Amino acid sequence: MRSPRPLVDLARVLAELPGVGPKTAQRLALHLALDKGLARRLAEALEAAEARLGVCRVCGNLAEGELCPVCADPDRDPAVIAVVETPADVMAIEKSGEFRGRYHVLGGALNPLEGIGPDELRVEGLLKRLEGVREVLVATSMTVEGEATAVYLSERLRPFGVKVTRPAYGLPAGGNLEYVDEVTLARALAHRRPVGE
Amino acid sequence: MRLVRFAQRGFRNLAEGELVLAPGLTAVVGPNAAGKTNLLEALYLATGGEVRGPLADRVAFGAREAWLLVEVEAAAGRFRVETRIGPEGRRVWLNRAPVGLKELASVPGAVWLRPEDLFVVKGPPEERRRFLDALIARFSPRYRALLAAYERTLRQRNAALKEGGRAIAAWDERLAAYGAEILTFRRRVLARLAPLADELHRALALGGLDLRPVETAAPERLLEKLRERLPEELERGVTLSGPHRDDLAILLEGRDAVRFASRGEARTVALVLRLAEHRLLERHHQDAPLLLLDDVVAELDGARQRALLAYVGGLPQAVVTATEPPPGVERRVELAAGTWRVRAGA
Repeated sequence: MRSPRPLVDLARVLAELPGVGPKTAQRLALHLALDKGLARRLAEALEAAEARLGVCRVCGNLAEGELCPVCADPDRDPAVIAVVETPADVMAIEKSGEFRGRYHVLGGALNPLEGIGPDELRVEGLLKRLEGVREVLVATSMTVEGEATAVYLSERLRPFGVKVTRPAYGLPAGGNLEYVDEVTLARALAHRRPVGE
Repeated sequence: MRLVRFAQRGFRNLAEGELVLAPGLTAVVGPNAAGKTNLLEALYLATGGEVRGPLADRVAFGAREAWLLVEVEAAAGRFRVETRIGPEGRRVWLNRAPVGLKELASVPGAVWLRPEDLFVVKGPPEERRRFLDALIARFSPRYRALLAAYERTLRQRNAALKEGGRAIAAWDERLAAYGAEILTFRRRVLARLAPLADELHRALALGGLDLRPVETAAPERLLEKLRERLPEELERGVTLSGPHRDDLAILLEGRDAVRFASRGEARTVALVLRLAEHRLLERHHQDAPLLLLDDVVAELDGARQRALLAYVGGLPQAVVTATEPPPGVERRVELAAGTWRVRAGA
């Protein structure tokens, strides 16, 4: 049986979303086709998001208007900046509730294989924000690309005399030692620290 | 470690069946194309071994998947390992629970000696690097992760070189960091492997054997070297120093075996390298892996054959294949057209 054209088109677009395969896309499309109310609300939400979401003028995070919620918050410490690859990383750190500084979203990591060099990332923007900044926490991923980006940034930051830090390698909280994978454990052991500091 | 029972279905040309393997040395005897190598490969894969080439080639023609089962008694305990090779790749169950392949690292597994090992001695440097890397990865998951990170960083650095060297210093630093750690691992393992190889070579042949790393740059000099050769590398678009360019020197009484060893000498050296690998794994696990010798006995002269059979006869468990029954080996599995039959004392 051939499906109606609009249904096929809808499924095709949905299948472009991360984590959605053709089967799931078809199910979602069908669901939306049968629930007109939901379809309308989704369409409105999508339109609003598309029209009103932009990039923060200061840090590159997602924002409604000029500034993202963190940059607009006067209670956030302007002397500490966490540099991350994507807005998703901002959300992850925010969830921890441990970080009270501000962010800088690079928009990716160095990746010459994909043609991404320093010019394709928000590096210059970061260097322009350093006045009054005491510490830059380079929280790029622990991947090959994230690590290289961290090295690159620390070199670029050096002339500014700002303290550059990197999150520690460690063991997962609440984890039983015997279930930690060997690579994580080996790194955590290599970066061990004295007790009681 | 002792392999007690092996069973299979759908692996290459082997007929469905079960094999109870005794301790000590067992000979698998049969004409060419009877399936001797296939049986050894099945045993190797079933005990967690890694092979080159597409896994799908191991599935019998017309079968959906290959199923392998081994029961082993190791120093660490009794294990039942089940392997399925099929459309979803290779899946493993340890004592009936699905596990990743690396879970099998706690079992000594098997060491497989093949005629192709000759390339470790006579082939390009890549073959010797591969031998050493595979050996180290067998007892260090960290090394396996390091190799992957190094490989990825190398590709990124080469891409950066080709586009004019943007942010090259950052890639230099990362490559040198991973590279130095790899070199340190290699040196450390080689320092333990070399005396074992020397001892084994003296026992099997005449004279000593020495193994030495040949490095394009020492670990602490790698970063410097990358910076030094940058102009040349920018021109050529490839990284010229580092563990991916290194070699392993094999010296027979001080003479470079890669260049000067005769075919016979090279075969003995290849054999000795694998036996040394076996000994090193035995030390690591406090338990000897199963030793699989594929068609390597017939290539040796009488005296070396006797010495080798005496050595492997003294191991907890070994399997040797041959077209003719090797002298002095009582337990025999006869193989014809993929079907095995156990003979004499097994």
